[in-house]
Amino acid sequence: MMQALTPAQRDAVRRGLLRHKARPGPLLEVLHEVQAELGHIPPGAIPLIADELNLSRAEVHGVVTFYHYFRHSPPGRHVVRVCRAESCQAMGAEALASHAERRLGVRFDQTTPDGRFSLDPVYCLGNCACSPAVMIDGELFGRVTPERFDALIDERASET
Amino acid sequence: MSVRVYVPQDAAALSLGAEAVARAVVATAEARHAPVTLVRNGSRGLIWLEPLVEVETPAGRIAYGPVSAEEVPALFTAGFLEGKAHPKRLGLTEEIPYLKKQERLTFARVGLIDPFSVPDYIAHGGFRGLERALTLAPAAIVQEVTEAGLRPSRRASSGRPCSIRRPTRNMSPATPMRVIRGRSPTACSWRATRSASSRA
Repeated sequence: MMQALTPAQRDAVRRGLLRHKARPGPLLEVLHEVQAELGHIPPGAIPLIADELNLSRAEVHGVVTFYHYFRHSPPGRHVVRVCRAESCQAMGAEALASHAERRLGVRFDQTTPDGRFSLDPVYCLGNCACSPAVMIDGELFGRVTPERFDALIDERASET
Repeated sequence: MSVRVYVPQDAAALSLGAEAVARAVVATAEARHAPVTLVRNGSRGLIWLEPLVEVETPAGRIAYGPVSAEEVPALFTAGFLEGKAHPKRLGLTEEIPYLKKQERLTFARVGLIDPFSVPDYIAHGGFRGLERALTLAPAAIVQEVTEAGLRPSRRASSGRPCSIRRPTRNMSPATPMRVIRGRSPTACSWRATRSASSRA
């Protein structure tokens, strides 16, 4: 049984729909807006979006699950994205990825038990000349060594 | 007199700490009462030298890089505002061999100016084509484009010159027009349609 949307979630989805419904090809815009507001796309939002955009639930579900950027559950307070695409791999991103898992104590696509950090893989941030690249809460970092990664995490772990 | 110091604001430079460098330049200049005008330019494209800081001197723009925020006070001490020596000094930016060997066309202004500054853009020849186009009739503009022989990328145009691509033909301001990317590289890959209601 799908979890029903809370009134606040329903409002956020409605706002996204209202803003973008009239545009051509509005689905991605709506999904981006919902995720920006709620941090994820609650499964209960899918029938509402499908209905309003005159799409099938399967179509909306297909788009939400095709783009790994869209989350199905709320993220941690900080979202750490480690690039694992070609250029970064060539510059040691796999070692950095293992280091990130060890440092945060979670695997990719998981959130730390204290809810502070979510660790996501990402396939190219467009910062290939500065590989390996990491993005934390939308801020881009290049030439990230394990030491720099730890410093970036420490800054955010020490905040209250 | 205030010295212009350039610290790039493009994504690659920011990912390497350009924001902290810019803050350090402003803070150090204030602390030392050295009048500095900070310009946030684009990247010259020499990413391995980012953050690449440039100082405008009577001889031209002198580059220093890659610069970290921690090095900024030492640069001031070394006299980088007059383009003086420092281990990170790269000389005149235009003379850096990688840059000197290039002939830049569409990217000619990248790294020179603050990309958000309209006055900077105009000072470097921006809007001149638009100004002239506004004095011409629509047919004369199409004629001009034809004579220029401009070709967009082969993929986008199937190799046809800009002027015979459909969006430039019979443009009527009365109907909204939209350009749609087609799928087949052999067929017309850009189409202009006159529908306002189709859902992509």
